[in-house]
Amino acid sequence: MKKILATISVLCFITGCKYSPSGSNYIERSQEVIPIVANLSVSPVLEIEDTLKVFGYIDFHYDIDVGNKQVYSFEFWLDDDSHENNWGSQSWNLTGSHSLYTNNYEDGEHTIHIKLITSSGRENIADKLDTEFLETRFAIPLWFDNGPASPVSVTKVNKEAGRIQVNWEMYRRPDLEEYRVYKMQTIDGFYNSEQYVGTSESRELTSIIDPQYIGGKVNYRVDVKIGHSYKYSNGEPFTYSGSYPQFISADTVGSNQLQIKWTSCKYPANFGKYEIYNSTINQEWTIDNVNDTTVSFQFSDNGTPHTLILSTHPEGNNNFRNVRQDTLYIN
Amino acid sequence: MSFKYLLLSLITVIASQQVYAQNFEAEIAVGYSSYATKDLIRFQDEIISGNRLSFKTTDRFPAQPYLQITVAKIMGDGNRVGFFWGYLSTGGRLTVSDYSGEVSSDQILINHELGVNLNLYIEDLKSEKIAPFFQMKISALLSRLELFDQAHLSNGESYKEELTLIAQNASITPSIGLDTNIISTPLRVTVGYLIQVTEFPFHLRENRDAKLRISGDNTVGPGLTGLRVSVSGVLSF
Repeated sequence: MKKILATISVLCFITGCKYSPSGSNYIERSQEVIPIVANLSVSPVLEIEDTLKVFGYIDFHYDIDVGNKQVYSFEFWLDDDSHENNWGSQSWNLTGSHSLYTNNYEDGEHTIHIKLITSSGRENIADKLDTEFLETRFAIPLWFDNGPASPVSVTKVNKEAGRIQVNWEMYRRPDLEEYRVYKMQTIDGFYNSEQYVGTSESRELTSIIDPQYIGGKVNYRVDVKIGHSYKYSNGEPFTYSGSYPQFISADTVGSNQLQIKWTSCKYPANFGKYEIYNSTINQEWTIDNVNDTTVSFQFSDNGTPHTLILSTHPEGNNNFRNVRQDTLYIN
Repeated sequence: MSFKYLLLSLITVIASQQVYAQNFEAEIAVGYSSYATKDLIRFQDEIISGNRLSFKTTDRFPAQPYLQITVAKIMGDGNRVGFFWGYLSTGGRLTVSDYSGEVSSDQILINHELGVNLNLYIEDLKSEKIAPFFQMKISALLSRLELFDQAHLSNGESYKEELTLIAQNASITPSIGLDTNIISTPLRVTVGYLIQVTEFPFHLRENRDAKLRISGDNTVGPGLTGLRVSVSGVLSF
């Protein structure tokens, strides 16, 4: 019996004494994930009312700080994750730029994504065993705009310090090269050929002074030129009408003196001179004071009619299309 | 630490005592042993230094109980010559855990010892109740190292990896001991020091050239040199 007990004890010892480690080492760790910081930008870009508008080739610039995280993949996507729109991938550089030719895509709303697969950076066991992943996406919504230029409208023409100022709406699409302002004036009731007024190459500069306008009916138009098209987009004409100097009276003064009066030029800042020509006696008066609106001459009352022409010239410009005329017939 | 098995063994051994017979005796010894295991401790340090996980050594090959069974021939002058089998096991653990999971790397060392022993009694000190003796053991150390790495993650994933290596070495164990019958129960107490005289490293069972190495091309052996203290019961027949 004792031998049996001894045998049992030996078997128990052998089976039970294989060393079994029991130590533990629990470490309290924060479960917080420190977010990845990305500085993203696109150029060239036009930001209008919180919308980023782009055209042609763009460069997508990125500067990403992943902190203590290990990067497993770094991909660029356009719109969604479909294979067709995979823009490329790289896993070796988190600072740089990537080019995209927007003409390859339809105009409209698109989104550029960065898809980043990293370790969690929580430095827990799962993270260090590369089994805990963090997918981070950064997106920039863009508006692709590669279409032709669209017109802008003149919003108002206002009198400003003795001149008129033409104002138009801002062009809200990318790649603006210039605004060009034209006008067409009526002379004797007929529209004359268009005249160039001026150019603005600044998107925000949406007004211009017409230094030649001294009155009359005029249509202003703003054309838009964009960089990736040679065509101008013509805006709708905007009509403005202001008075111009006209004869108002012809009075006899003293003996055989006839005094002619006309209204003054209402745009004195543009004013150059008045020219009054009496074709009957072939006499001309030139007056460069805008407020000097009378002229007198010897009038022989022998029944000969006099024809007077009042020509008002803008300053420094002798283009006949800018000259306003009024005619007075005296019998 | 299987203390309950040790206790059970001791009780059973004591209960199984009989009076001495004349020609042969069987001895069942239960003892405590310490080990140098320098290589294995360096092996643990190497794992820690080369690992991103914040491992901590929670088990570093502690002193453990061992078992020895001896069958000896009782010579005419009372000295004994016999052969024996011994068993011991110890181990190490590197582990870390947090809310996301647990990883551990266990190193289980199992050693079987086969050899011969010679007990020479000191006649001048021998009395009716006590019999001191010198003992010399020469043995082969058949060691097995089980490397068991496992990870359990809180997301349900788990990984396991096992590798077993073996090593064979030789040792001598000079000891002194005392047979006593003071408490009307024949017991033998032995204190010795095992000296591992060879330094053959662990290798794969199927390829002796595939040795366990750490940096500096240093190989890793069992390192079983250490103190052995045992109490045994003797069964004569």
